[in-house]
Amino acid sequence: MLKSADNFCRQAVLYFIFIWFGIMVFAPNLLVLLASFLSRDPVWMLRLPLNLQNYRALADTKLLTVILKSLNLAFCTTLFCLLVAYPFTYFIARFAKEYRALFLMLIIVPFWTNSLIRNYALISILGDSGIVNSFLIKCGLISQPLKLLYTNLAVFIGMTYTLLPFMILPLYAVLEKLDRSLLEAAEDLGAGATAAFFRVVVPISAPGIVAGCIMVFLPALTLFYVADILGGEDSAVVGSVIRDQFTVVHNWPVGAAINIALTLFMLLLLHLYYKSGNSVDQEQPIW
Amino acid sequence: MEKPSVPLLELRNITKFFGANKVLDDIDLVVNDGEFLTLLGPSGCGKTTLLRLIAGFERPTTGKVIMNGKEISHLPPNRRMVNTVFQQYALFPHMTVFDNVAFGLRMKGLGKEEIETEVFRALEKVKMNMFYLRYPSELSSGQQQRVAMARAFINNPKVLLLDEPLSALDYRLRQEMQIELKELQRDLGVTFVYVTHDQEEALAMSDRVAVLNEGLIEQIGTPIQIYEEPKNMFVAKFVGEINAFDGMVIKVGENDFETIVEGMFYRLRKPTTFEVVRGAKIKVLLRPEDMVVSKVNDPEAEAPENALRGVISFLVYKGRTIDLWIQTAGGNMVMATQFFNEDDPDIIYAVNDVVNVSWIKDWEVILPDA
Repeated sequence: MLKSADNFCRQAVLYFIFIWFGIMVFAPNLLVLLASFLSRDPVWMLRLPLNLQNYRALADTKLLTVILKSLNLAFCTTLFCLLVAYPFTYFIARFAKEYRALFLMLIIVPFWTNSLIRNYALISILGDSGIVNSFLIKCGLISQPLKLLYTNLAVFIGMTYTLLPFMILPLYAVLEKLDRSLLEAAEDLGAGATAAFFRVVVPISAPGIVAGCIMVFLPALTLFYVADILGGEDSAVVGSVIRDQFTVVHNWPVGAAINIALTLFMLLLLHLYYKSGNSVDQEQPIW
Repeated sequence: MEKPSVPLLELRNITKFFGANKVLDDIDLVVNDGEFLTLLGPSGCGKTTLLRLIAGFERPTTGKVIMNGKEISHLPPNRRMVNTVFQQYALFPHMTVFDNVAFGLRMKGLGKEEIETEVFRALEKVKMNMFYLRYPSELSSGQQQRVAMARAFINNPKVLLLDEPLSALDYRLRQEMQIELKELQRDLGVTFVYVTHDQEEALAMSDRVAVLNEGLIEQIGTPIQIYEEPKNMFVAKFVGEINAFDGMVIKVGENDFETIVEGMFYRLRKPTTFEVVRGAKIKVLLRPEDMVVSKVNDPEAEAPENALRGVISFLVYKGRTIDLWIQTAGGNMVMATQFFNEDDPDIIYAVNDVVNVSWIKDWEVILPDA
């Protein structure tokens, strides 16, 4: 009796997960994929016939420039986030348990404020009469305010600030579980601190690194409001282009096609990672 | 003239504090080349800390670790000629068996071909060469244990440190691995310092055993010395089962003395370790297997000389032996292990049987009653 009830619950949960994935993940992506093959309609937005014309828009040089610049920004953001987050997280994970919880809390607290507002706050820091410039002028290091706001640097700072926690949290998940005795074993076998770090800690935390990079890279390509708030005229990201296609130009099929291209690009990167043999973790990827 | 031989490893006046907590208290220990030394003690006695001090994971608060006459207390683990087999093995989960075992050699910068030869030689010694492509997660705990061994001894350490390496294995496998480890140690000729809380393991494998308690070495000696001649009550009780009787010295002779134990008069051989004086309280210790039990057919009859009268209150049949718990007239519980004797009809015991209990003369251990 009990066993069948248990079984029923398990089945129910499984079905729920499948249905949830179906509705929330599979169906929307399928709709976007479908839209990318449809034609533009001024009233209904989408109409038949099916065609491949929308993907031809990707070859547009203006669009390609934006995409390349955006990729560059996303790459820099991801790399910088990784370089900052890794040592930071590594040391947090070494702290005593009660401190770890506090630090994690401090990382999560800013999430309670809307990220739009947090990016607006950056304006008052980076602006001509903002904190950074007033400080530098007071110190006498510069006489004229530096042009920080409305530049690609400002977008980079905004992206890094917004996305850093997304790098820290997956890294924390793997580094917290790292068995200290593995480091001791490496030392015991003749490895210095550097060798132990690169041969043991980094490979074991690879799943966290990959997860963190994905969680930073993709948003860094698409967070158009950061570029809108902090960027200048040529600070558009891929996300801005997609947004424009949907809400300004009203060309849904092209917007969908760019989106699909982005997804395929991400899948390609993942595929390359697993092909490269760096996937040292025996378990399934954690995302 | 022959040079005085320097011991392989010496620990001199080692004291270790963790905060205000004294974990090791003025430890002096010499490890000889090629021996199998076991640090035995209950959890929290400091045995693992002592091992970690030798490995270099901990620094002594005071005192010195000396190897081949040179102090190594300040050296980090990667610059000591010792290797460790960790309690949970600490195999690198992202490396194959081969890469795990090769790790130490790669750190030394050996050539590819040399590494390959050495790794397979080491794996063969622990019968794991078939598994060189497996990951640790694909191995049983017994197999992981062998890989951890190979990974450590491949580096030709002067001392191999083993931190309860068998504790994760089930009973049967533990028995097998005890023999294998001992054989491996003989084969390699490497000095082993072995940490365990399992006294059976310690007695079975070691050349010498150091019994630790609360940061102190209570006794150090061969397994036979530790078991047969415990120096104090802690060692007596921790290593094996023991019956401890309270006694009072009433008369001291030249080679023996007279005492009252459990209300019975006994003449016992004088101990060599301390002076018995009249009126002193003593402990008379006896292993269960040294007890002699005989069934009493007529409970009204007096107990013979040197025997205690008791009632079996509990018994455990163990196949080769039978363990009896006997409640004596004096109110003590005495444990006696009897070996089966085909010719002896008396061996069939039952609860509530009345028995006489004595022991094989001169097999008792006398300690002062602290």
